[in-house]
Amino acid sequence: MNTGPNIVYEWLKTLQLCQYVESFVDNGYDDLEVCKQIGDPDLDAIGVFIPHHRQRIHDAVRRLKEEEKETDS
Amino acid sequence: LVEHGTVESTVYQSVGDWLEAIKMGRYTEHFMESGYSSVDAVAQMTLEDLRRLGVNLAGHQKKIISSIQEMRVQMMNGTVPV
Repeated sequence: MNTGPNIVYEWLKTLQLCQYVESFVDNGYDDLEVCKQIGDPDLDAIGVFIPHHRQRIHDAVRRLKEEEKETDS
Repeated sequence: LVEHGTVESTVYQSVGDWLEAIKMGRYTEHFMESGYSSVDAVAQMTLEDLRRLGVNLAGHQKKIISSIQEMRVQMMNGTVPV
């Protein structure tokens, strides 16, 4: 299972941010493909306002993109 | 008199109702101002159309587009006379 809300939940759990899972899914961020595109405007819409939570998500998004590059090459 | 048997598959009365139902009510005015004021007009929309009217967030695009696709399926299954 590489898609669907469950994987977003698992991803957020590793970041210790699973309190946001409902808001992620409500806003359409329900798989990791779409989560890779998260930037500041997305976090505003989702309602992640605590700076160190935002930072943690930005870092995790960067890691997702790096993983993608590695599997491509 | 209330018929529970016939489940009216979610056919939305207005674009506003539909957007509220998928929690995208914030875009109602964008849709109206761009002329997508009927559910029929919305059902024809593409991702490009969404971007043009100012839906810029990837998640919101995904959510709206998948709802439009469901809407199309329901329209095809529902109202087309055999």
